[in-house]
Amino acid sequence: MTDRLLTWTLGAATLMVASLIAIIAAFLLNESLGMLNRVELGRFFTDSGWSPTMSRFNILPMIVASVLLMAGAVIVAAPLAIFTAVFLRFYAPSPVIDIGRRIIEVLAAMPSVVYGLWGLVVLVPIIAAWQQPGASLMAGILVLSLMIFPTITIVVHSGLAAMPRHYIEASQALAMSRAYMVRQVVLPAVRASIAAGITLGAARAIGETMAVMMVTGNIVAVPGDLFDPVRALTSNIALEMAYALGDHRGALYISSLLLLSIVILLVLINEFIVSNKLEH
Amino acid sequence: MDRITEATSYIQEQDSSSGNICLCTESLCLSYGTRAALENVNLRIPSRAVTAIIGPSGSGKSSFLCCLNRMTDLCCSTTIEGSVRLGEHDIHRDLGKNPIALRRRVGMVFQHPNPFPFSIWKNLALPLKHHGVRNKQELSSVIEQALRRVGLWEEVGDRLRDSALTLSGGQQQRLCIARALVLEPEVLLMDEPCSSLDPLSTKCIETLIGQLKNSYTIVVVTHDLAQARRVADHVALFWNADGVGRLIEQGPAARVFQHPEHELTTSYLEGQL
Amino acid sequence: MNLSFRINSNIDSNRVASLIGLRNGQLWDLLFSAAVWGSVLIVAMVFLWLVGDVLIRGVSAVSWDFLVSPVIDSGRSGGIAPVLVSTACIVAVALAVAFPLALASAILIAEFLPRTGTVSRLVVASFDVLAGMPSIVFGLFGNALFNQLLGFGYSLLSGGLTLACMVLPFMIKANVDGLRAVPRSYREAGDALAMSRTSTLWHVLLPAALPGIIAGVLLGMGRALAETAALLFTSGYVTRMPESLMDSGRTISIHIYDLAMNVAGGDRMAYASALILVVLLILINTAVVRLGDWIQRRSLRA
Ligand SMILES: Nc1ncnc2c1ncn2[C@@H]1O[C@H](COP(=O)(O)OP(=O)(O)O)[C@@H](O)[C@H]1O
Ligand SMILES: [Mg+2]
Repeated sequence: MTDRLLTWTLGAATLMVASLIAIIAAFLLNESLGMLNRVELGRFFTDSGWSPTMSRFNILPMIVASVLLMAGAVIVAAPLAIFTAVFLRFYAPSPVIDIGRRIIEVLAAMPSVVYGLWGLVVLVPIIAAWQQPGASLMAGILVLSLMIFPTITIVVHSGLAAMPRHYIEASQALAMSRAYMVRQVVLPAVRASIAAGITLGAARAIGETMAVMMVTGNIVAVPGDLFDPVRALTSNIALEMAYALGDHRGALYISSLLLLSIVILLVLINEFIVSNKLEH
Repeated sequence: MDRITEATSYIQEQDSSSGNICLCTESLCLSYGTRAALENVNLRIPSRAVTAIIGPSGSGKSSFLCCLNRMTDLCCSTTIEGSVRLGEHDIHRDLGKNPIALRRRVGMVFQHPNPFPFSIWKNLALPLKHHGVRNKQELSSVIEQALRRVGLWEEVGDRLRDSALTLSGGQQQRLCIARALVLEPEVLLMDEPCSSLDPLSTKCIETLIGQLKNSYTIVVVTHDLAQARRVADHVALFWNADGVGRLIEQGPAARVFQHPEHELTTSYLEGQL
Repeated sequence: MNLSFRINSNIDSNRVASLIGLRNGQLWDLLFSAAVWGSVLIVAMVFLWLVGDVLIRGVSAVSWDFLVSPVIDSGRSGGIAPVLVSTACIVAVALAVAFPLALASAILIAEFLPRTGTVSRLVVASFDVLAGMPSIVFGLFGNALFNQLLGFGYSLLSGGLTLACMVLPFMIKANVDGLRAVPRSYREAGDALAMSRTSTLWHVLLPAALPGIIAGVLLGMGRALAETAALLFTSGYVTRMPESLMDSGRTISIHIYDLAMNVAGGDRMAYASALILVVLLILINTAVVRLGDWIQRRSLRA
């Protein structure tokens, strides 16, 4: 009897938690609906600019900025992370391995405001000395790549640790050098983990708000080059939510829906990669 | 008394007939951390013949094999004393810090088939490319010959781009042998190459070993005595004494199987009969 | 010398030998190893720079007074006492709400659902989406549900509840791992003694999984402490000492953000607060790692 009660309780709690994502989506939709009924969806991409108080809702520059920030961060961070994971698995002397992994875990848990603070106080002035104004796409990419570096490293490293040992034995018995083995056998063998790490890092990058907002200058425009200031979708919400009313508020909720769908897409890709790996 | 003289003379006869010794170990001791795994192994492995290493499990057969191509380097806490001589070189002293040159000369096949998770072609091409064969035609011809030699060409020649993991266990093991052979080693070490295979594949590999011994020195670990009888020219028996592996008997296969010198050998062979 | 090839009947080994003799791969090997060491060096230096920066600039402003004084002049002087209290309240609300839900879901997932079943995969996928959802989106959701619909307004309660949703997937994962690390024999022992599943769970499994459960709580705490964006529009950023959970208040992360972005000359205090936050997180992380090692040792022993 108690067993049945227990199962029901657990089931109810899990159902609640598992449906949380649906509840969240429902709330976001509900807040957006009023506006979606009044304003055509196409206008978010074709309006003459972003000034929501004057009914101009073009969020395209911010989408472009978010995507550029994400892509840039992945391009910078992924190679560094892959090499670092390889280092920890195949190159590091044994006392370094544990410390290195600890440090990476701490870095992964570091709050984004701390990265943002460092970016704002240290990095932006350095970039500004080189190319005004400093707070730019470039600064955002660099700070974001620092933030997603530990995420990618952890995923790739656990892939390397889980790789069957006999691949290494076989390579060694075939007189391969360490570098050749890593390049030609190990990295291709863990490509699923690498892809998973990159999608996870990308999801983190596109969802990041604070660090990006602190270093990118937050000007709504499609950047001409790396040193132009940009405003990400997330920053836009954080900056304007405090005073947004009516359609303006609706527009912000619609951009949050967009963010949510991008993340769901990335998670689905990730799931696909992982489940394919399992079958393999 | 009589038997021993006979056996000794037989050894001398064999030694002079088969000529040179390819690999030999002198007072070889191996320990993992503080635990000794092998003690005082003096084994002579003649060229171009099959030497079978037999013995109960845990007697250090695999460990011994790993000493011969320095796979022991992979475990960080191993210590090796004594020497292993390949030709006139001491593989630990003369070949220095880098075991790559050694492993080029001493290939290895493992107990479980371990092809890389890539295509059949890539499995064979990787070691070749590493050692400088880049020309596509050269690669093709070497790969074809290697596959022909292990009898795989007829079976998979038309699907070299398929994943090696789609092959059957026996085919995978033959692919691994082919992969070891493309580098043209002098010695081929095989650690229980048939223990995870079905009888047909086993037979196939035994035949292959019989062919390969004309060109290679083969050391094969097996705990299947019948197999040792079928393939071996020379036999070495390892025994686990107080947790430490020792070599207790070696010699030409016919002599060891018919007139074992050591009483443990006798009982081991009889236990199996 | 002896590295040359033996003549072989089947393969034209001279040709292979002359080809193999050239090791043009060595250049690539060298480049690759250089890339590995180079990357690690770059990364290590940048992070040393970052952490050193926070440490050096932070230490000069941290003192006991800093911890116990009220926020004065938007944070340019004074301390962070009310901020610490608000932080503690928000984190406490988040954990108090998330913990029972997380534990219940974890028990169901680890003990009752088949690991590879459709239900379990769906549930896990929904947690993955939750875990990857941008925190600002949680902020918008929290604002719509807790601040407006439920009428909690900008308050510690709204902030805490929003964070509870956010830390749930992480806590669940840690709890599931903790439960799965409990040796199978414990469950069999329970069955053998004809205990009901409830009492096996209560008297055997949960105590055994305690380290994993504590690790989950700590992990959730770390997440909650580090969060900023989800709180901007739920808990608000009032600097007064809160009197109840219905008061607005700012966490230490928001304080750092506000000082750095909106307060001219606030950098020094921002760094001091950042130092406190980083030290807290490192302590939490150390505890999690210790517990993790403990769990692993035990599951290896069993
Ligand atoms: N990598 C290793 N680390 C520690 N001990 C090992 C290792 N490999 C083998 N041993 C130990 O060495 C002994 C001999 O093992 P092994 O060479 O595998 O024997 P066999 O192949 O004859 O069965 C065993 O007691 C085994 O536990
Ligand atoms: Mg063995």
